[in-house]
Amino acid sequence: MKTLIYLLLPLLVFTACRKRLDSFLFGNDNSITEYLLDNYTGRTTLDVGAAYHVEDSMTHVFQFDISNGAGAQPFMISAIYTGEISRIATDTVILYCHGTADHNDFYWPRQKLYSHLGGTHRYGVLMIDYPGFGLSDGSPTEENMYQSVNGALKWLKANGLTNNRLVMFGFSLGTASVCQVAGNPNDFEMQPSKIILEAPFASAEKMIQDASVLGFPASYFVSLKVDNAIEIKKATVPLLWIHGKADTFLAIDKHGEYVFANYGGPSKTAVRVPGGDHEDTPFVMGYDAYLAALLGFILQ
Amino acid sequence: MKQLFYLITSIFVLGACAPSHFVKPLEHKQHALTASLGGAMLKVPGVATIPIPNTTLGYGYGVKQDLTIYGNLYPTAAVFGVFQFDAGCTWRFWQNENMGASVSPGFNFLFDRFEKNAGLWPQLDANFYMNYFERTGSTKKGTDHQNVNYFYVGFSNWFQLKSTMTLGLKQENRLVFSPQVGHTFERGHWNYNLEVKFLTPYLSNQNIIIDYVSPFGKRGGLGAFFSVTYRL
Repeated sequence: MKTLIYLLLPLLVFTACRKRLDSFLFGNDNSITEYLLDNYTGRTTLDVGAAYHVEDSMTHVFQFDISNGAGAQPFMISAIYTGEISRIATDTVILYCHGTADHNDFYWPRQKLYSHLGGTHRYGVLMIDYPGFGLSDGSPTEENMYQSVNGALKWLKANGLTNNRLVMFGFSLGTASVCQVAGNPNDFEMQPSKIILEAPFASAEKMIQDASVLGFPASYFVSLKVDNAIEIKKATVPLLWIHGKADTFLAIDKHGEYVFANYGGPSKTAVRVPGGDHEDTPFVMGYDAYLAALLGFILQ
Repeated sequence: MKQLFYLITSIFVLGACAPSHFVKPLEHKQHALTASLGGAMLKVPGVATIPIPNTTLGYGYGVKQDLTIYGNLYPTAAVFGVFQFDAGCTWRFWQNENMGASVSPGFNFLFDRFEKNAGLWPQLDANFYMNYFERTGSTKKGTDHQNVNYFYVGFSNWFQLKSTMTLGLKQENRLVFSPQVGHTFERGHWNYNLEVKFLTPYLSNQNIIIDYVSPFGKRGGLGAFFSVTYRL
């Protein structure tokens, strides 16, 4: 009995630990001191080439603040808007929610690509770094991520955007924010008129159970939910879903198909891309064809 | 993306990976303390191919000559706020001069302090062992003891009681089967054990967010463990 007590005591002490694995889901890099955009030499999501160049005059790097709960100190979120800010009040804007890698510089080629959707700067594109990513303050958590997206919606609203001209586009981890807003529009500053999901998670728990075989609850590892397959059931706006059929990170049959099948809204379109992996679907599909699919959906 | 691998690495810190606790039963009324280290082999990008450093601490007691009861705690899981515990018994149902066979029914219990989710997974292991070396040695104090080497082969089964997984999906793998091979050096009061477990060699290891190392290519995984036992 004494031996058992000796064994149990340190275990109870250990069990009191609150270490969670959520932070490991975020591949954030906040070591940069400025956005280098075209001069960035680190790895990037795509190489879109000179054909999708964006002029400096149409690139606006700025910050806005969000408060993280009542009484908490606000912290700054860094953002990049491409297009004319003055046209936010009259034109359609895409809020792009990027994936889990690094920061805005990593996804800058995608923002440039979308800035040429339907013609150069036909649509304004806003991309933010979530808390703990790039130049944004705070720590990377699911709640902070949603708060930062809400801050972006607030900024767009303050610049004159209305719900009927807002398109939300999420990639990978960014699909969590889009599904959260689409499923719970009353909790956010704005409601999108259309949503685009590229390579979405089904849920954090699905990811864990696929990898472990055993049906462990997600709470054994993370507080993170990312319940896209649940939240999407409540969406009431049209959906475009794009997923590479060769996605080795979030397999299309284990994640994307569930999100698409669970969608409960009025209209949904699927683009399953043969040969497309997690990051390279636009390239594999061909940038022109990829943009045409996006444009066709937005103009529907 | 690399950090995602660390997340999943940790899944196996908490997961099913542990070596066989007792292959041979203890002597009647004998006590033993055990500790083990190891887990599934993974390719961690930018680091190496490593076995996951799962740990267990356990206790065993020889109820009868052929029956040992045991329990194990998982300190590494505890660091992440999950209480993990297993318990069971090892019954030697057959033996002759140099070999024997045992079964070990038991259960695994996990409980997290965050959302209070509890889970129970019954387990049934079976092993066949064969002694190939036996010699009487002596300690520095001059007392005699037995030195024995034996190897064993067997399998481990975890049973999933729930019929559904997340999102209401059907649980396709109610039985999680993993064969194993191992070798034990018995030196006086101490046992030193190495075990290799072939984790679910019939299931695909593709299109999930980790890179398993498996001798079966696109199926299963490989676990490597080292354990020590001190018999009082």
